[in-house]
Amino acid sequence: MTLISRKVVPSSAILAMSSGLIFGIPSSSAADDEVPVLGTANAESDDLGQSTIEVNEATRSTESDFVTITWTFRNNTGKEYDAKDLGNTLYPYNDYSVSGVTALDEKAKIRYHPIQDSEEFCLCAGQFYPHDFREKIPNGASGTYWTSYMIPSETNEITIEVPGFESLEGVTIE
Amino acid sequence: MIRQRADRGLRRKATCGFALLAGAVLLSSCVSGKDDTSGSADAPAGGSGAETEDSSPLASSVTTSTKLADNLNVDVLSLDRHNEDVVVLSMRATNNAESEIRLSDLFMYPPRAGGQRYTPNGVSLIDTKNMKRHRPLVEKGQEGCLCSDWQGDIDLQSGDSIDFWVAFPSPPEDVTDMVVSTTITPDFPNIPLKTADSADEEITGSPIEEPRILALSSLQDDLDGSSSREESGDETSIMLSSDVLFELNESEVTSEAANALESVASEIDNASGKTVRIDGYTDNSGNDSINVPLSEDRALAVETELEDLVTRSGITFETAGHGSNDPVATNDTEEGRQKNRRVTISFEK
Repeated sequence: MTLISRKVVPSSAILAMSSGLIFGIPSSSAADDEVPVLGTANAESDDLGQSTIEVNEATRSTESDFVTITWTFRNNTGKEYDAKDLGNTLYPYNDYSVSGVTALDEKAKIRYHPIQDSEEFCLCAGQFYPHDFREKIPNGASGTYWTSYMIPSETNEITIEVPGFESLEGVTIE
Repeated sequence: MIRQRADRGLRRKATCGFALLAGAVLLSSCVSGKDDTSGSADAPAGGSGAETEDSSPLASSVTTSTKLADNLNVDVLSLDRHNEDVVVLSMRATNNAESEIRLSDLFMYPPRAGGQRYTPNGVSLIDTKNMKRHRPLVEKGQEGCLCSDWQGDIDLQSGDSIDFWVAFPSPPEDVTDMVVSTTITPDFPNIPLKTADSADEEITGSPIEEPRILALSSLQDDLDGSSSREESGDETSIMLSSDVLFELNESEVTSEAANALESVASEIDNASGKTVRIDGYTDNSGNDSINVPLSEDRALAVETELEDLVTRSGITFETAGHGSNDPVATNDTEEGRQKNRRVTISFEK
């Protein structure tokens, strides 16, 4: 389990602010480099333009079947993109979510849909309720989301399928 | 930046971190807690280590699904059993961006599903051993969770952090780690479940509503389209496509169905459940005066086959036909309707 330590704002910057000076607060500008990229897939569907999907992490919880995939949607559609559009079109899930992102075991030929609870809420980025949730991605920007699956522990490689994109193959589950 | 020290007071209020420098202007609009005589508890009493300034978090978010992305950091500080019924999670959110972020609803569940502003009641724990989702405990007669609240603190300002805790129903004794799930972060796996040095009696003594522990399930498709399944912690439900099992409008099992049924029989043999339910369904085309008896006949036909194939003794079969009721998939697409045309065989693992 990787712990990524985060710098909080140094007290010198706060002192500067409190005495009325305007100093830029150091943002973690290098932070984007700290989010790993395990693989990238291009858009297939015309209305997604040059948008891409990156898989950032694929993590299994201990020896269980619980696997979480963290992935990023880079929006180059030419307009704002709404993550609501990634909902599952086959099986019903409660409320809006990215439940349409599926995991494929190419060897066993099984497609996994995201886990749901008994109220049919997706165990994935969803409901988009918080005011500052990145549901709508401005053109040129990105949003990072997650989806969790029940994948048997014998399976350690999967393909991630995001609607409208090429399959992202060879994702190794850590 | 100095984080607010943990006061073990009576009121359960989350606090924001801020710089305590001589003469410094208080930057945070959050309740400071420093002169708050009623005290504040940003960490529960007796926790295994959340209150120590130097202790490192058990886990930190890689990034968040918020407008601040990885400039908002979310840490899991501790996850402790306080008694056999109650687990307490403590966490911290830190704003490392230049702009503020709306805090009031950041960790709340949707209001129509019991969400409460100014609380972290959208946080849940996943027991991956038993495949259950634990929702926060709720105080008796109240709507909010047994958890921190930051009433009145609308935004988390640049440079500030907020600590909060949430009480949950305990998982079984043999569960040693859980997944922490929030509204805005990828699930945190492998969080060790420890025992609190001493129980926080204000938390464990609070009368509570019935705990909410929800079963998790996973829908899976065989790519050749002949079957799907729904797995939960306790039960397997195999959905065989009627298009493979039967000819159109017929209820006699086809020869192609043999392999699929042998495979199901083998799973039943290896399972522990003594009852096998067989349910027939159709899509929503045609009408149920035909679909219900057809689906019932099909369930019976599958039962006949399975009775021959299953070798484990002591198994009882229960059959029913449901017609177009209880679709598993959408009836708006052909792919969905094909999924709905199914015979489902369910049993305890």
